[in-house]
Amino acid sequence: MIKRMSGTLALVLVLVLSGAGIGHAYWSAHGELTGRVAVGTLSMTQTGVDGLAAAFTTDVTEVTAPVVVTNDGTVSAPFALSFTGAPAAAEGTGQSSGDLGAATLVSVWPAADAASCASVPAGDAPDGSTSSTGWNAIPPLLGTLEPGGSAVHCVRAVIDPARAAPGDTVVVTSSLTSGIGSWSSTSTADFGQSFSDDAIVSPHSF
Amino acid sequence: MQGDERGAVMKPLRRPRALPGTATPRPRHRADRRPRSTLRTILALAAGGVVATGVALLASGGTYALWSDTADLAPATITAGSSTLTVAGVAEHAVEELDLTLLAPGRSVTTPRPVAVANTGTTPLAVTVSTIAIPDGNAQLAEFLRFETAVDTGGGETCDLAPFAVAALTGESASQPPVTILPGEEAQLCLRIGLTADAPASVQATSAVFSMIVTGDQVRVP
Repeated sequence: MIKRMSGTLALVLVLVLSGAGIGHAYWSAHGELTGRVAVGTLSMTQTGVDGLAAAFTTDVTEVTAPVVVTNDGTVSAPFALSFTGAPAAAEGTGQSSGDLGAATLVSVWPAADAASCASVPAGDAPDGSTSSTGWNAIPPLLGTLEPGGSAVHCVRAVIDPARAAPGDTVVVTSSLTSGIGSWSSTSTADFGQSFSDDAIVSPHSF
Repeated sequence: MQGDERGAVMKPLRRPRALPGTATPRPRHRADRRPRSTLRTILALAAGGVVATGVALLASGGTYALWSDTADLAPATITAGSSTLTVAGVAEHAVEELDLTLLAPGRSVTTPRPVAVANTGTTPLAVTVSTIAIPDGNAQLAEFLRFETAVDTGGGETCDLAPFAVAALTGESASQPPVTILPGEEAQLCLRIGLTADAPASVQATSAVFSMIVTGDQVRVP
């Protein structure tokens, strides 16, 4: 009985309220913000590595050259410059020559500019330099460059004639990598070094 | 007055006697009455009808007064409220120099100063970023752009420390909860736009114009 009465009342209320047009209206206001965003570019290059190509003799045991890393992109970016060396294949034999890298002391230090590399006396390595025997042991050179910026590293290679045999060679690859998220920039350059006991020397060419 | 005439006039009405051949009215025994529940149903429906009529009259404003009187009120002005907001003082504000900071994967650019969103109407507004679009059609870049907003009612002067919430792109509602701005007051909106870390190299050296709609919905403030 009560249930039936409640149902009747509910039905009547629904009909009345729906017919009475009860509702809710809200206002909205809008404003707009506009702008423009632009995406940069990533590009990192290296120069000066070919200055380390050398034909060593018992009299010429050292070569120094600046390696310059330049950010040619439009956003700041980190970089890593590393060296790896391996003996070159002897001509005609297909076999590798002796590894000159094992007889090479490599030193790297940062410099303000390329010209300053030559000011360091031969056989010396300034404070802050990194030295190791062989090209593969040199830790990567790290840094971050703003767009258009450059980083100069002086690289010096000194061989020990007592540990090198005539005909020993090494081909060194300088790898420059830079990455931001999924973007990457890679640059590689090769140079060669050799040792002979000839009195007349000329830069080794590979 | 004769007796017949007096009887026709003064006699009380009586139940007509049954004519011969017709059914004799059944005596009203207790067992033959309508069930009590049926009576109650009728009463309930009647009561419901009365209540419903009352509610209907209340809802529709109708009355059934027997007397009525009228009196003229003095003319009065009815003023409607308004619901308007501005961004940096205007309806459409262009943020300058955002593109001077170039984007790269995982990096973003932030408005150097907060943008004032003001409630210039007469009703409280729940303000949020309702739509972000890239109208110039750079769909590839738009896919990797990430918009974040921060609304500060404290009147901050820089966006450096603003806690940002991710705002969805292209038509979806922002995840930032609405901020209620009372009439005559304003909130500070900071915007940060980033490029996702997985943006491909093909979007390098591209650009996009974006449009962000700030919506204020009327709310009731207790």
